[in-house]
Amino acid sequence: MQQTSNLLFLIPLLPLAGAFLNLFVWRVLAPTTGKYRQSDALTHTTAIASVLAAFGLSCYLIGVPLLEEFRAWQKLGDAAPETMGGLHQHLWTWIEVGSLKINLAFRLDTLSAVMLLVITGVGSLIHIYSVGYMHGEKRYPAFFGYLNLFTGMMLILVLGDSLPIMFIGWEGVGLCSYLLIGFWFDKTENANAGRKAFVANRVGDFAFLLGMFLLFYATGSVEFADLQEPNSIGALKEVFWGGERMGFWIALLFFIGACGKSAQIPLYVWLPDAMAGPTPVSALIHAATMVTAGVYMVVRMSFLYAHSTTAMAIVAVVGALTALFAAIMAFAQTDLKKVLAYSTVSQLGFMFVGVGVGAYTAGIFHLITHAFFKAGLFLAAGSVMHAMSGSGDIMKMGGLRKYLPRTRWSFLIYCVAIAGIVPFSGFFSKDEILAGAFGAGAEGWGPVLGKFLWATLSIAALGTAFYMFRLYFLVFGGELRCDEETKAHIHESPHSMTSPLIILAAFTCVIGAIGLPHLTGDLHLPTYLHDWLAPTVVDFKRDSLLMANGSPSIFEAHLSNGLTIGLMGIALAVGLIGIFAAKAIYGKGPSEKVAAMCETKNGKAIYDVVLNKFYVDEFYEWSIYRFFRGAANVLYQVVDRWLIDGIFINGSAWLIKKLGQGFNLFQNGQVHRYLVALVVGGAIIFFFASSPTVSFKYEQVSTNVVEFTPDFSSGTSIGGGLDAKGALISFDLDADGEPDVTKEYDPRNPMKVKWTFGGVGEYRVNMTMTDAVFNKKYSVTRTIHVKDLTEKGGAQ
Amino acid sequence: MTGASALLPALLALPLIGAILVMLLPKEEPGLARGVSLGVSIATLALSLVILGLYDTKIASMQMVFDKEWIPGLGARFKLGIDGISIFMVLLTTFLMPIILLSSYKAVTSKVREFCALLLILEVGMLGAFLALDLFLFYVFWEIMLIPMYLLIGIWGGQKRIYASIKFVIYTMAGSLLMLVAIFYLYAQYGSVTGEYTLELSLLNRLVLPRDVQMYCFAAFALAFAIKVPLFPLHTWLPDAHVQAPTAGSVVLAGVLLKFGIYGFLRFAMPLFPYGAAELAPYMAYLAAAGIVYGAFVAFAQSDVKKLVAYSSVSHLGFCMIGIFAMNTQGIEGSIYAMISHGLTTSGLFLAIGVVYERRHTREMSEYGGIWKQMPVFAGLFLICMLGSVGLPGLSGFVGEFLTIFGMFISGGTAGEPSFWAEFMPHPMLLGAVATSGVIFGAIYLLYMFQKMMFGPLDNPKNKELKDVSWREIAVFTPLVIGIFAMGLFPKPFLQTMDPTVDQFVTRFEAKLAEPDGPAHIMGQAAVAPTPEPAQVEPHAGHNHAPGEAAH
Amino acid sequence: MSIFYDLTLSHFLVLAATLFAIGITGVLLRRNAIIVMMSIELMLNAANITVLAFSRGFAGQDNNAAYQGQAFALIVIAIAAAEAAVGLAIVVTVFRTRRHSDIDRLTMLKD
Repeated sequence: MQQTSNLLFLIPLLPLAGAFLNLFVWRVLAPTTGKYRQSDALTHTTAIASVLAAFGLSCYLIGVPLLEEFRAWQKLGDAAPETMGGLHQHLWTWIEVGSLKINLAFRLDTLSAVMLLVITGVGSLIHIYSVGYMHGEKRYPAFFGYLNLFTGMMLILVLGDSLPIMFIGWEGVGLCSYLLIGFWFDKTENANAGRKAFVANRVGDFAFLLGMFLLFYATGSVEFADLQEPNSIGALKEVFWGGERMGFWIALLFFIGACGKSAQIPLYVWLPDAMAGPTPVSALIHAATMVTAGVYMVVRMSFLYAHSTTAMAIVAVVGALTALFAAIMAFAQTDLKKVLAYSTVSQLGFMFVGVGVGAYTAGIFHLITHAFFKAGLFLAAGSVMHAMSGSGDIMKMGGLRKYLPRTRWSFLIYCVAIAGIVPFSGFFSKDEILAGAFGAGAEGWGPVLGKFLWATLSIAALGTAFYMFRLYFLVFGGELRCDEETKAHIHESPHSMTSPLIILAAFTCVIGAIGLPHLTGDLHLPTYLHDWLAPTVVDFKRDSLLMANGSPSIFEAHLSNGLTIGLMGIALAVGLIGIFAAKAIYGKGPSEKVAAMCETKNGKAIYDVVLNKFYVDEFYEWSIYRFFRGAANVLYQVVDRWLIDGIFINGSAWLIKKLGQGFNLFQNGQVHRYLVALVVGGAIIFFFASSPTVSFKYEQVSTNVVEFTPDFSSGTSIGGGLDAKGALISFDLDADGEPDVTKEYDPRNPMKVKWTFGGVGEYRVNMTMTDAVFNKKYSVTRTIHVKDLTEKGGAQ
Repeated sequence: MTGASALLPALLALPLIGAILVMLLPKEEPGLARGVSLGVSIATLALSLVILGLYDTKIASMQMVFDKEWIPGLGARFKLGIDGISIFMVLLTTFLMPIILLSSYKAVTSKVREFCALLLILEVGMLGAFLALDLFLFYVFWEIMLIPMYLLIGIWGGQKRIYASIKFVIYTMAGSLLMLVAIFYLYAQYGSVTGEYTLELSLLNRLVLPRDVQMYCFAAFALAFAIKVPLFPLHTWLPDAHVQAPTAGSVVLAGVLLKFGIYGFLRFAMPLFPYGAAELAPYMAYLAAAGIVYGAFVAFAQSDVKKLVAYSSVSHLGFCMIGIFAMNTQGIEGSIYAMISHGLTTSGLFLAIGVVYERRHTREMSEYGGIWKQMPVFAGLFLICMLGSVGLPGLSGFVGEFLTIFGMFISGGTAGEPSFWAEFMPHPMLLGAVATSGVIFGAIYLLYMFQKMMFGPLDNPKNKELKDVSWREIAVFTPLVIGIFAMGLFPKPFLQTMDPTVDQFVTRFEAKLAEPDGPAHIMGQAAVAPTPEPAQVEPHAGHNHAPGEAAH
Repeated sequence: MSIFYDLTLSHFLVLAATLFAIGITGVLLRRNAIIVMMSIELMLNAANITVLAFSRGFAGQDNNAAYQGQAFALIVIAIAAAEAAVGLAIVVTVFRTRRHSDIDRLTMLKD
């Protein structure tokens, strides 16, 4: 069941076209090449219009054809097929070689629809926000061009109907991230941060590619639709390597890919550094969209993950650990955006736990709510930094509630949401993940894994509430701590910047309604998102394929109403405790108690470790970067220059030169010496060449009769010359030591000696030649074969 | 022979006549020489496009064959032809040549006439070697290429140009001499088996040598081609030659000359000695994989940007080697594709280096920094070439890398059906994984280079005077950039053109590989073994005549 | 005369070889250019004797070969005369410029 849509390609194409116009066409049309300057209005109108158009088109396609199809699918009830095709558009065949066929095709289904709305919706707001934020920037067109390019690539990622197409977007967003992080490349740190992001992402891409190859190896296809066929699923269940199934290894590789893009342990290090980019970039790329691509990908491949409980456990555990560690690292940060960055890493960890325990809807739900409040937080942070003359040091802020009222209120809403306070969106999504983790259990997981995940996440949630409100109180509470000059410039941001904040805040308030808690019976609440995603995401309860093939199953949490409400209560309490703790400590600005505690011996040690982010960056610096550098230098200097080039190549040239110099000594110009060499050399050759090598040929002419002919062909001088004339040739044919035939040799009439042997067999024959001049004897003995001529002639 | 067969000799004659014409021009007018040579090269490009237009993409075998007696005493014929493997190599050559000539308008100011003529002669040599269907003819063109290149480096090169040019020539010559020996061995064997002495490739292709002899002969051919590729550890001539060569020389070297290595494997070494190729394939593949990683590491250690790009070629050509030894359609087409893409992206990088070198006369990366600010248009062009080289999907580099690694990964077949190659290629997945790691390393060193040159503070006062690219330079880059995008987005027409030929290549390779061991014989006519088993003879019954071979 | 007819080819060849050896010894051991020239004449004549000996050896079997040998000997004598003239001229010139004719001191070939 799938419809064809001819408009789908426009969704990614519109932003891409915007990028093309901003980066290329407007520039060419600008009067001069060197110092062009296109008008800012043209630039941002192009950019915003393209994204808004994409948003509008997405709304239309989702609201009309896709919704219709979804309704029809829902009406079928239990008879409905497990998946719903959605809208599909095939553009052209990208690569086709042998059995490999990659179509450039897009598919809009319920999952990509959700992502589409987030990307184009939040993306539009951020584009609008950037107009104010990037005002006066010299490379204004480049910024909007990259932003558009990013949006287009992200849309390709989401809409791609096969893994390679997804990979185009996957790498494309990485490129834009690289360019935008290093947007202010004058500072080497910014450029370094961009490169670090790209390389860390590439490590993930490496695994992504391998996963893709392995998937093709196993199933012979890389298209999502084909991969969900029973045949493919069957191939994934085969044991492949190390006792684990094919599905496990593929899932693991894809998860490493997701770790790179979504900043999970161990590849998260690039994200905090990525804050070097302009703040709208952090909001769009490093909070709302790109970093969630990993989560999206795992959900997209849920049919694959569903076949390996081990892989899912790894996803969930990595997610939980990331959530916890990132939350701890956020405690000690003093840079506004860095705190938010670690918070993003932590929240992404939450999402991975969600998808890892099979609560795919919860993961996506959190992705959506997070996109709103975290994008909002970043934009608000940008607004604050805008007011503070660009500084992000929270120790120098405080009391900004008076100066930035709109920013402050929206910031507060986002903070409450991320802390998980009812009824803001973060509460519902986080709670769904927690409930999913609490109830998760699968074969091989043991009874405690789910509880462990739940406990870890609860601690992380406590940390989240605490550090977010620490941030809030340090920025907006207490008294202003900055210098006078900065203070003089503090102002609320323009409307182009604050109105996106307000819109995002409004969404943060209400978006939770799409994923109300799963209660049963009379208390049942509508679960819109869950229903909406049902035709796309693997549902463990109804997926007959999983059951029929006897796959180890993970059951989505189906907890009793009481337990669900109890868990919600705990989650809420955790959030409130965090908030009040932060209020108590930081309510009036930086706490001296904490500062004092950090000065004690133990306190300082812990503080330093946390402040330095557990020294992970340093570890990577030493273990990877330095290693790579060192290895590169050693390989170049020792192997390449010294060994291969120095010893083998130049060494052989040197050897030949030295040999030449050695031989050069003979050439001293004295003709005498040359002559001596000539004569001596000639004599030596003559001596060897002229020693006659006597031999004879033989041929069996008839039964037992063999004809012998002396053969001097290989000798010179006496043997081959005229003087063989008169030489005496004698044959000893019966091996008695006495010559049997003796003849004088005449070269003009070569002698032939016939002899009859006793029968088939081997005989030793000796020929002796006596030189006519010196009476010297030369003799040769050979073994000859007399054969049975009826078989095959013994000619030689 | 149809009328189209005159096109290929015309393709060779055109630049040759152009070269002679350029040499006849007055010495005092370098502009005229530049103009005429550019015109001739564009005409050659146009002619090659006509050839592409007439090329039938459904036919696997040689097309537009031109066949004339050449040295009857030796059995060498002047035989040219084009197929799915060589057509893009030819196009790449003709495509790059106008770009090269245009790019050296400013860079070369002395002996302009000779420079242009040498480049045109070089083009004749390269085209001839790509088109030759006679081993002797190929060898002649192969050696002809060396001379102009030697002179280009030796006359217009940098400080250590003499060392570099001699190293280049001796390295290449030393490798090709053993190949010559193998060629004549083959010649003698074919003569003794059939009584007819010939050096024509299609006939020699039908000769099956004993397996151990195949190994020696393949090794002799492989040495010549591996040096050209260059396969680690035979690569050390490359950085020297690149660094010392003028920009035009570097572009020809990276853009076309290196491709002869892979092309030679595909056209000669592998079809002639399939068993030797199969036996030695793992070692070649190991070396190629090692070269991918090694080239990347060593590139990272460079401070000279041209050397960095030179070592990146070692890494990139490693992908091509991996591809051809995957011995499936994906790998081989990927390899050809990667070659073309490398021809575009690396040429672009060398041209970009040439642009800044012309302005600053240094190639040290530390001398640059922050020049994006000064040269934004240049930065964009450089970025596209760099990303194409990194292998960003949507640009040309990705398709080739993807297909080569993909081919290697499944060279043992897929889970369901193992391929004939599985018994010869151990650990294809491991090799594929090692090759894939080149994806990471490629990003590391190229991004490092880009950052060193383009990003960071503009603190070197000399760089503040830099002028952005001129229209001429934009014209140089535009075809490359278009090519990089076109090949990245629409690879199918390219791949489709190669498909029949590459498929046929693989099938024939497999068939010839299955020939029984024993004394040299013509395919399908193996001598009856002492204890004849019917099973040994039967599978080859269908290969007595190779379809499409009998074009002459 | 009968002694002459009893001589085989080998005898002539031995004589020629002896002469040749004397000549070559002279060329190799003497440093005076004139004496070297004379030794070369000796070697040429040794060669001449060889040619004539073979010519005689073939006489009666292959008259063509016999005549060719004798004609060849005449050519060698003529060439030897010419060579002696040129050689002596060179020696004289060398002597005029160098005031000696010691071939060990003539090492210009080295360069």
